[in-house]
Amino acid sequence: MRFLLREAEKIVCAVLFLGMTAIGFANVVVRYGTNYSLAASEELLTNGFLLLTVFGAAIAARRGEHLAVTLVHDLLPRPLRKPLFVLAAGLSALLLGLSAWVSWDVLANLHANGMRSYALGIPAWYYQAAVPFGFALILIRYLQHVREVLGGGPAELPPETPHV
Amino acid sequence: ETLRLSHNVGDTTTWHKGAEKFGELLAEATDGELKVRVFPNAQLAGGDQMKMTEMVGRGALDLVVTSAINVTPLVPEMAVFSLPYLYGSYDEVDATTQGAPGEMMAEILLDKGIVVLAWGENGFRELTNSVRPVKTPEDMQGLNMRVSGPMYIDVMNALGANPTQMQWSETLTALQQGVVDGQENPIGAVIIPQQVYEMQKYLTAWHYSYDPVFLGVSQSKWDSLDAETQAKMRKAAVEAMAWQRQISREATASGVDFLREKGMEVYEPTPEELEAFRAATKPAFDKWSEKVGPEIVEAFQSAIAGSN
Amino acid sequence: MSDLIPGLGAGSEMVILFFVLMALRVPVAFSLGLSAFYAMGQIGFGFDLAGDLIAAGVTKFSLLAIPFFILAGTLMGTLGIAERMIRFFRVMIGSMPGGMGVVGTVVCLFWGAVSGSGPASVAAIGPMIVKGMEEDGYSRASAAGLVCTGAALSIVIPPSIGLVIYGVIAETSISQLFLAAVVPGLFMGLVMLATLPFAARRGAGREALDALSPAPHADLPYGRRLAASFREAFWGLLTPLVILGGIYSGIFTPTEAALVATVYALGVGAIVYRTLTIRGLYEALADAAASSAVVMLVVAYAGIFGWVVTVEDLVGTYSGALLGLSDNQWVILLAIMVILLVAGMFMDAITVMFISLPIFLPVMREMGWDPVWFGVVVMVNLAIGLFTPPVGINLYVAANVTKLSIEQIARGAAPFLLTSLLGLAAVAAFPELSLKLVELLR
Ligand code: NA
Ligand code: NA
Repeated sequence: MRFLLREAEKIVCAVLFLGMTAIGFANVVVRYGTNYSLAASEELLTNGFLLLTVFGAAIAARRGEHLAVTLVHDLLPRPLRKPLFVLAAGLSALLLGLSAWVSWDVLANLHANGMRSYALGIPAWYYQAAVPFGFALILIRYLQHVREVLGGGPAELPPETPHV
Repeated sequence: ETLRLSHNVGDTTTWHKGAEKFGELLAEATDGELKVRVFPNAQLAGGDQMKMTEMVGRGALDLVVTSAINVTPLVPEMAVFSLPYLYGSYDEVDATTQGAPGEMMAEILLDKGIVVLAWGENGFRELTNSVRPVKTPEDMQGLNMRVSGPMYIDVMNALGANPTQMQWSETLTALQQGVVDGQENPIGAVIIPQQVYEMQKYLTAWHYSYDPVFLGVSQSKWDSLDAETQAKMRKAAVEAMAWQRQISREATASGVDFLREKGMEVYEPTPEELEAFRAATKPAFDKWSEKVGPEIVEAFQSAIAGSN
Repeated sequence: MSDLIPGLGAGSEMVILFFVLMALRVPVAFSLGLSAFYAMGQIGFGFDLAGDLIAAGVTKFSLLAIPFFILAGTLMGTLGIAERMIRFFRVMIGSMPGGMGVVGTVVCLFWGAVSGSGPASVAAIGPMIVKGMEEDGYSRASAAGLVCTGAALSIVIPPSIGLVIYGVIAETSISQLFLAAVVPGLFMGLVMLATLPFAARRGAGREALDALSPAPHADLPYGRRLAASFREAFWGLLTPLVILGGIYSGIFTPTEAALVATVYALGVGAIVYRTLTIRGLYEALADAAASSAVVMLVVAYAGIFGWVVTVEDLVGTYSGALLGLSDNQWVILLAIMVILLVAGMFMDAITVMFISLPIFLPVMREMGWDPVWFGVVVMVNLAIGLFTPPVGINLYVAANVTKLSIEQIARGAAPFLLTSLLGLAAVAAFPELSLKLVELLR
C-alpha cells in the first residue's frame, strides 16, 4: 500500500506509456502490413499523452526537475535565498491549484453537455476525468519536494538537473 | 462592445470573409455599438475545432462560424447533412438549410445553448488521390484514404478503401510521402487554399457528402440583447451568410478550372456513375440514418423531394 | 484587479511578469501559466477557457513524437546500446590524432541521429565520453565542454524535439525540417572537430586509452577488433537508418518513427543484448515520462500564454517593430539571431520558441524566407543556447554527471562556443546547406 502511494504516478505513467507504445506501434504495423487502420488510435494516443504529461509532471515535481532559472537566486546573499525559494514555491503552488480547478471545470462542462469523443464516440469526459486529480497530485508532490529542500535537507539547494 | 467570433479555418477562406462581412453589417446596423473581431484557425479555442462550439454553448465565447461536421461530437444529429449522397444539387441543399429542416436543426442546437443565426456553406466534399482516376466504386478498392470522422470511415469501408483517421496537420506530409494515397474535402475551402493539388494527381467531383456552416451566437449573449438588436444581428447574419454561400459556390466553380490548370486530372462522373457510388455507400447511409434519427432524415428527404 | 503598470496593456504586463517570475526562481512552465492567468484576470476573459486551452496545447498528434523519441533514447542508454556504439567508434578512430576528442565528437553526431533532446544526450553518453577523453589526456572541463556542444546537436540532427515543436508552431512539414537539418548538423560537427586542437589537454600519454570500461578484444589486431566491436554495436548503429529510412521511404510519419524507434530499442534490448529487465523498463518508462512532461508542461502553459498574446494582438506590435528596424533582410535576420542567442542564454529552447516564433514567423513570411530553412537557423541558434551560461541546460546536466562547476564546464566549452557561432553564421548565410538535400529528394 505504501509502495502504491509513493509510486502512484510512476505506475500510472509506466502503464500508460507501455499501452500507448503498443497501440501506436500496432497501428503502424496493421496499416503497413495489411490494408486496415486502427482508426481510433489517434484519439487514444493524444488523450493518453495528456495524462502522461500530467502524471509525468508529478514525477518531475517530486524530484524537483521542473526547469527554473537559478541565476538571481544564486547571486543573492545566503540569508535571502530561503525566503525567495519559499515565495517561488508559494506562487508555483498557487498555479498548480488553479490548474486543478480549471481542469475540474472542463470535466464538469463535458459531463454536463454530453459531448462525445470524435473517433470512438464515447463520453468525452472519460478522457478528462483524471486530469484535475493529476494536477492535484503534481501540487502534492511539489510540496513534498519543497518540504524536503527546506527541512533537514542539504544546506545548499540541490542543483536542478532537468532532463530536456 | 466588441464581440469575439471564432472559426477554425484560415483567414483567406470564404468562412473568414463571411464572418468579416457579418461584422461590417452589424457595426453598420448598430451605428458601431456592436463590433465583431474575427479569430481564425480556432485560435480562441487553442486550435481545438471540436471544443469551439461547446465553448460558445456555455457562453465562454460570443460567436462562432463552424461546419456541421465539427459539431457532431456535441450534437450527433448534425451528421444528417453529410450522409452520403443525401443531396444531388445546390437547390436540394438550399431547400433544407433555408427551410424547415434548417429550423429543426437550429432548435436542437438551442438545447446546447447556441442560437443559429444563419446557414452558410463549406461545400460538397470531393475526392483526390495520387494513384489512379476514380470513376467507379471498384476504383476505390485498396486506396489508403485519410478521413476525418467515424461516418467517413464507414463510407470508405463500404467502398472497399482503407480509411485512416489523421489530423489535418499530419495529412499534407502523409500525402506527400505516400503514407496515404488520398483524401476528401471541399474544393474551395480546403483543396485549393491548402494546395492539395501539389501532391495529388486525380480529382473526382463525386459530390458524395455535403457540409454546411452556420453562424451562431451564444444563448447567454443573445438573451442579453434587446429585441431590436437581436433583429439587427439576425439580419446581418442572414445577409452575410447568403453572400458567403454565393462566393463559396463561385470559388468552387472556378476552382475546377484552376485545378486543371495546375495539372490535376479532374473527372466529373455521369449520373449513372454517381448512382453506382450512391448504391455502394448505402450501408453507411442506413447505419448513420439510424444514429441521426429516422424522423430527422425523413424531414430532410421530404424537403429535398419537394424541391425537385 | 488593478493594473501592475498603469498605461501598459495586459499583454505587455504579462510578458514583463513572466520574466520577473522566472527571475524569482519560479519554474519556467509555472511562470508562463501564472503570468497568463494574471492577464486573463486583467482583461476579464479567458478564465473559463483556461482548462480547455491547457489540454488543447498538449493533445496534438505531432507532439507525440516527443515522449517516444525521449523514451527511445532513454532505453538505448539503459539497455547498453549507447555503450556498445561508443566502444565501436573508439576502436575504429580512437588512435587518430585527437584520439578520444574525435571519437567523442563522432559519437555525439551519431547519437544525435538517435536522440532528439540535448540534455538527454549529455546524460546518456556524456559520462562515458568524458571518462575516455580524460584518460586520453584532455582536461575534464574540456571533455565536458565538448560533450555539451556535441550533445546540443541532438536538437539539430534529426530526430529533434525542437524541430517537431517548430513544425507544429510554424505549420511546416516535420519530415522536411528533419531532412534540411542533416547537413547543417554534420557541418556543425566538422566545426567541432576543427576546434579540437584548441581544446585544453593535460598532455598525458595514450597508454591509458583502453582503460575506459574493460576493452574487449584488446589483444586482437585492428581489423578483427573492429569487426568484433562492429558486430556488437551493429543493432545500435542501425537505429538512425530505421528512423530516417522509415520516414523518407514513406513507410511512416515522424511521429510513427518515434514509436518504431521505441519498439526497436525494446526489441534489441530484449532479444539481442538480453539487457532488458522489468525493473529497468519500469524506471526507463518513468524517467522518460518525467522528462517528456518537463517539456510538455512548458508547452501546455505556453498554450494559455500564447492565447493571451493572440487576444491582445501583441504579435502585430512586436513583429512590426522588428520589421521597422531596417530595409535590409540581413540586418533583420541578424537581429533575430541575436535575440535568439540572448534568449537562449536565459531560457530553454522550447520556451524561447513559444514566445518568439509567433513574432518571428510573420517577419519570415514578410521577408519571403523559406520556413524550412528558417527552422534550421532557429534550431542551430537554440542548440548553441543549450550550452551558453548562465542558463544552459546541457551545462547543468554535465555539471551533475562530472561533479564540475558550471563555470568550469563553461570555460571548457568556450572554444567550441566561439567556433559554433562561426558555424551558425555559415548556416544562416548559405541556405543551400539546408535546402539542397530537400530539393534533391523532392
Ligand atoms: Na537528434
Ligand atoms: Na543557454
